[in-house]
Amino acid sequence: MTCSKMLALAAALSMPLAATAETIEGSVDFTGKPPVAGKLHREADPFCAKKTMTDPTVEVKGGKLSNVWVHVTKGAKDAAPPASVINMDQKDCMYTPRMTTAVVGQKIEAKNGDPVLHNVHTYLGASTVFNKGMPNDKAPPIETVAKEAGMMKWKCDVHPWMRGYIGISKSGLQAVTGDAGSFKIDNVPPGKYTIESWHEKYGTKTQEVTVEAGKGAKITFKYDGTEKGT
Amino acid sequence: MIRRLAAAAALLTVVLIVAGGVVTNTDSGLACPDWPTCFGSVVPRMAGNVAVEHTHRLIATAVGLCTVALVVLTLRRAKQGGLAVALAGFSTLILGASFWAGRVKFVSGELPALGVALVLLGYAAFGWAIVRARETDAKLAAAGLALVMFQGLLGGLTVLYRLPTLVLVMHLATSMLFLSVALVLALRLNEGLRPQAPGPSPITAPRGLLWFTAAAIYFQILLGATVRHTGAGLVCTDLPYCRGAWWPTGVHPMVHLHMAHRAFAFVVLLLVTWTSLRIARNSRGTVRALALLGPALVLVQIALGVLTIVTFKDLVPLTAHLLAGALLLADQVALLAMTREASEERAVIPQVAEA
Repeated sequence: MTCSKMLALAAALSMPLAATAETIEGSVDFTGKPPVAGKLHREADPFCAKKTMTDPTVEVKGGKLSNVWVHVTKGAKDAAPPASVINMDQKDCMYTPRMTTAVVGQKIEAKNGDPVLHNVHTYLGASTVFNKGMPNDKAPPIETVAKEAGMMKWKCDVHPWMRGYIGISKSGLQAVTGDAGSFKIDNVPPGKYTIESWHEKYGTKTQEVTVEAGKGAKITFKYDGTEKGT
Repeated sequence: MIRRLAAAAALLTVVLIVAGGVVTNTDSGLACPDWPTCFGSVVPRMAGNVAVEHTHRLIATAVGLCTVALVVLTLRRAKQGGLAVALAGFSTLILGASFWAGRVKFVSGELPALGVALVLLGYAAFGWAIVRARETDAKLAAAGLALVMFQGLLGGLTVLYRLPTLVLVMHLATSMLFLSVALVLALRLNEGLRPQAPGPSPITAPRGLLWFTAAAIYFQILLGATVRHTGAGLVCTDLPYCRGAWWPTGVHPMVHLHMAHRAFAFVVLLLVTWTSLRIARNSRGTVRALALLGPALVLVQIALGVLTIVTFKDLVPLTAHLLAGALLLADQVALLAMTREASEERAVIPQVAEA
């Protein structure tokens, strides 16, 4: 079989799959009065103190909440981990990005972009995953693998305001809301799913959704600021 | 039974302090968003941080129930059953008002002034009842109950106000006070350890110095709690220096707070060693062992402090640091409970000789 024939066969085989892969999209609305972001007290470290920053815990723009992890909790099959590496950087004494996602089995790499010591203390629930120091920007990256589904919390004990989050799922059907508070989960086969949203301050909300072939689904999560999540 | 109960309460308090440390050190303080319930239930799904936080609450409840039983038993022994009933009423008022106020705060965001007033009223009545108790053991048990309820309120405030530093430090301060009261009560109720117990003559000690040392340890524990809850635990990561100096200048106050905790550890070491040597010279048995245990505990505590820094506040050394601090305080409090002032002993001996 020639190379072109093989490509044609592969394209033909992939067509039915593409036809059944839908999207779940939507947004996370914030209907309450957004809290005023206070100044982060970073004065204890002279390097961090050079830049003034506000608390990024709650970011609302135009009534939409960003940094919400939206993921399928029921109804999806496990996915193979992508070959790409998830990066969690420490820059200007903040975790960057603040929130991202990974699939169980996927590689994660932590870097220190600052000339000062950060310790990378990660948790899954109440258990420490690892706790390692990175003396400065010359420190080699810390490599790890997403072992379990759940919210992996990242903390620096040297700079207690530094928080980062990696939502880990088995199915890979997940997204994080951006600045516009919207999200889009691709490659969702038709079926019934339970979808959960998680915000670091306001906690979780759950919805059921049915994805039909050729239609996809749209959902909206709503927070009003009275939720007391963990 | 009362003896075993008192000993169990003291031991359980140590477990409770460790559990509280685990709550803080695993970031589980807000795992239950409401108080006194957890997600509106007294039996939430015990998983992850919720399991850590709720276990702490359950152990606290067990300590509280032990203390209630001790109050009842000590007052019944003193033939003051009526006062026990009154204390039960005052406790119900305090706890009922607290739980109601906590619920209102959680739902509406506002702490009702009526709830605060009722709690204060309950405590005023409780104070009156403690004064009315005839026996010291009953007074101690009642004071312990007042403290353990206050501790519960502080625990509730930490949740409802989302971990304010001052309340967190007060929470630890109260836990150490309660541990001291529970320990003294347990020692008093166990004959043979009481200073006035029959048998060998009481062991004398420089109690003024002992009090001073215990106060210094308590102060050091409060300094440590402030370091912990302001996030100053790793503002200096080099040892023994801090940012290349013994006492860095031109830095944030948190750096000085951290260094003050380190420096005061050596003040505590000197005080404990001095006190221990003076007691060990003239003592025997348990008292001598406790006296010698003091400096060893301080050295272990300093080593755990170093480990806490080099492991970047790993759960085990960080929690063990809290436990060793509590045990050191307990050690000095036990010495206070089991010894008598040297001058008292001198006053007693001539009388015996004349007789």
